[in-house]
Amino acid sequence: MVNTLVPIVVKFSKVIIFIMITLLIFSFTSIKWEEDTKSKIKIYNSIYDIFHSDRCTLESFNDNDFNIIKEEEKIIGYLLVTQSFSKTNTFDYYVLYNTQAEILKVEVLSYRESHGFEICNKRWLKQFIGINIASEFEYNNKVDAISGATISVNSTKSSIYQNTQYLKKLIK
Amino acid sequence: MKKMKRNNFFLRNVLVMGVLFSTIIISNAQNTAQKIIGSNQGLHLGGYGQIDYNKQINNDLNHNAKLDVHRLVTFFGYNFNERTSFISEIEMEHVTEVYVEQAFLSHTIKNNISVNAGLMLIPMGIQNLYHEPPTFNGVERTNVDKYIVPTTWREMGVSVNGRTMEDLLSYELMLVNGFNGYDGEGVFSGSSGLRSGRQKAAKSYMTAPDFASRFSYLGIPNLNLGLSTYFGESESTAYDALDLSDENALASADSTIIGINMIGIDARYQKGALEFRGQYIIADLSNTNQYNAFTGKDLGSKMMGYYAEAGYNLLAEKETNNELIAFARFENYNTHNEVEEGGISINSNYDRKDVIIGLGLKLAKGAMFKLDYQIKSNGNSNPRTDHINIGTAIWF
Repeated sequence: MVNTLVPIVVKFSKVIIFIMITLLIFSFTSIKWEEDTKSKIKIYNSIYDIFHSDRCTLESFNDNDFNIIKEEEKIIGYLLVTQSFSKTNTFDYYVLYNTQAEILKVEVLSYRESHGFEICNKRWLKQFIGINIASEFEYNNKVDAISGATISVNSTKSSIYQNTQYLKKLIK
Repeated sequence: MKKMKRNNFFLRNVLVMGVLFSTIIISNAQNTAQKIIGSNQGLHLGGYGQIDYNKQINNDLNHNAKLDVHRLVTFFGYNFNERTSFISEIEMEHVTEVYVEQAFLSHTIKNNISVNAGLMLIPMGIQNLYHEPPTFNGVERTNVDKYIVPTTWREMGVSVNGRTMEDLLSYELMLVNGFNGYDGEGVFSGSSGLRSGRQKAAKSYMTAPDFASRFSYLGIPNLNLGLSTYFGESESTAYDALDLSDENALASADSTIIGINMIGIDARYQKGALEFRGQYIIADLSNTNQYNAFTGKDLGSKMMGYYAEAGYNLLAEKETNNELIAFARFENYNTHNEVEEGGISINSNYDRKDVIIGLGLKLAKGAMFKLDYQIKSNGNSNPRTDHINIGTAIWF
């Protein structure tokens, strides 16, 4: 029991230090996800999992929904936290990108209604990892439709597409 | 003389179809701004519409075509805050009938669990819940859903819904008022089953609540599996102001209600250009002999309906966002699958089979033009009836 607890405690303490440092050094003006602790922990854990570094910092990027992920002054990726619309409400999600603006992870933070929740499915969201956005038609074809969740599916696809295109232009 | 008359009819039909072509509404349903009015972020508006042209085709007799704005529904939703919303749908059917299709308050109590109260859709089958016209093939909803479910089935109650297993399993548990089975005279019938008993929240009354539930499983990729149940008894005005100690009155009132046990399973598969759909519903009705004897109706003791449908998007490989879906569906629905022993006899005309093939052209997300050919047959030796249906399906 103790053996499995220790790595988790270690991981969490790293996350807590991470949160404290970034909150101290930077101030964010983007979406209010930073006020939601659960979302913060989700995002920071993902950053730790994907970039394998506990020395990452987040820097806001021109007052939009993007953040630059830096490890000791070197840019290692980007974070997008934004929202899109579902049938009767909005939902929040985040995307992690590498330095080439290629998608590394997509996860839904908060889904506020019962219709279309199928897009929260991690296996479905995996389809966006490394997806090619050069051709919008091929991009749309690559992502499976979900019966009964048409609005949310289209909203997610379109939101991710537009934001990724925007990021590509920003980093050029 | 005869030849000229036939030409006139043909010309008129062509003209009518021409008018219908020109009433296609093309909307871009992707714009978030369309869903939010003014500066009030909490208000959401939307709607859907189903406009039909139906014509029975028969070899020897002429039949008038029917044109109908079958449904025009406006959706009003208001999000009070992150956790509380009001959802409503107001429906106009056949232009003159106004109904409220949904009106409930929804509150999220925990991350994945919410409570709804008000007028809600009973979660039985696919089309009762997902009935926006561009989401199904065919101009009309399936007859299995019309007669067996019966759609659009919505009643007043309270429900708890949520998702679990990492969003792979969703559930809805509901307590609702049941069908009106007796209001001075019997309401159910052998041919249309429980359909006429829907109260639709128009001053509904309730003797005792019924229980409905639905589970959806998404664990298998591209497949959406559903299981719906409904258990209860029909309502009856004979129980109003009833002295429960009066045995005669009680026995009489008991003859005006039936027990209803329904189970449905459904599946939707969608991958690339292919889509498959299937549904099977069975309804066990008890006390039907007493009910039929008291009311003079011919209600069966078991109703069954199922359908299987396959569709293919012919434009999948082409570089376009439009879709041209070719589909075929077989339906079998029988409101007299069984009758209670010692009562009425089975009416084989109530065993109905439909075959429908057609096309759906999606011009935009939420705008669709449909065309189908429907062959309906019933009983064993009755002649079949054919229909051509054309329609526009809109959702925004």
